Amino acid sequence: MATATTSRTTTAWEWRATGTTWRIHHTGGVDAGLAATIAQAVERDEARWSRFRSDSDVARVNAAAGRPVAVSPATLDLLEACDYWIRLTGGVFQPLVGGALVAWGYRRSLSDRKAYAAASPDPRRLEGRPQVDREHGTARIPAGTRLDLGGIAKSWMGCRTAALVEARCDDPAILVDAGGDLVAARGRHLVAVEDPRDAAAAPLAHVTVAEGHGIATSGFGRRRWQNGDGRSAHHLIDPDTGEPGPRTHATVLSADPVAADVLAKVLTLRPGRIAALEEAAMVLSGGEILTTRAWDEAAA
Amino acid sequence: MTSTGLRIYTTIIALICGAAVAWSIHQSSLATSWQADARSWHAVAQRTVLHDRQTSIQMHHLVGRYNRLVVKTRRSEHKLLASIRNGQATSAQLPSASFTGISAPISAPAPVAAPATAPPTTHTS
Repeated sequence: MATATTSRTTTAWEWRATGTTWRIHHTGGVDAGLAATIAQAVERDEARWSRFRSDSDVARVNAAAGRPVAVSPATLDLLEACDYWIRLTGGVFQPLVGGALVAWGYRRSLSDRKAYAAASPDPRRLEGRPQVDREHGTARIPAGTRLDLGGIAKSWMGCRTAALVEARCDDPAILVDAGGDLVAARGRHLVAVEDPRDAAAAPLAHVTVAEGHGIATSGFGRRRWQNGDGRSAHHLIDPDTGEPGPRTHATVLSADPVAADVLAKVLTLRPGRIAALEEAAMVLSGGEILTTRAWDEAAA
Repeated sequence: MTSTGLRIYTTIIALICGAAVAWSIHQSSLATSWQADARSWHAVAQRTVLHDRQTSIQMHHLVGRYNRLVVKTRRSEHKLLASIRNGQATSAQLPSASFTGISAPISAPAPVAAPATAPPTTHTS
């Protein structure tokens, strides 16, 4: 159990972005002007990395699959991070699942339209990596594949937002909430872990997130639907099969907020990997809760 | 010339030569010192020019930030006044004339009160 004192935020700014709700928890130092600046920065990032916007870097890379496309330096950074995580997780983390998501019916932002496909696609293994050319400022994905940066883009944006607000504000306690992915920009924060089986129920746990660290939850709970052939689907695609993964939820607390998001997704698809994980992590699978030793120590 | 005169003459010549050598060494030392001083001043001048250039760049950025701050402050002010005006329109309790002509606020995050007892929550999005 963490014994250090946690910081207490007293107010927050809230707005909609990336199909979810973003919040900046602070102690009064984030004024309306800074909040607007932060929201605009998030909007700019979303405009680069959303696959639902035809002029985004991701949409242009998808449209030219197999050929190099000039993208922004920030996109090159993010794609290099994707490449790193693909290698590190042995391909379980795979951002080239965009085609499978479309085939399963997730064609537009769920805040605009419910996902649906008349017939679910056949299984198909998804592999490959985005290629980045720093010298020419281009990115390329293998022909026949589509990018969906989804969760990693959101956590990446959360980190960028935390850096921005931390540089512009002197508050002793600042926490960025990127739709449930939390980054402690300044101070230590006590954070609740929602019970995915019933959001209104008592939290599954409370953990302390140290300054600079992040916590992320991944699971099938909110973005799920049923297709015309009766098959249930959700947005977490298993790259080994090209189909939605098991019905699990995972939460990871890490010194690297992006690692927290990626590892939460990996644990959702491969719950058994929790045994080898050093980070604080919790998996809810089939009513059973698995935790790492680091999680037990971090839990309040 | 007698031998005594020759000795005196030789001594005088030796003294003159010695003085000339000493003077030359002194001048050389002075020149070296001046060169060192000149190099030092040159380096100071270079640093000053560089610092001046950096200060100019920082000042340029500061002016840009200040300008952006002015724009944001103006937008915030417009938003605040528009909110007050909307409040007046609904309550009809305050005079609205003083807020006529204010443009609509830009879309911006809305403040919410963070629950004091419930901490921030991680969840699937």
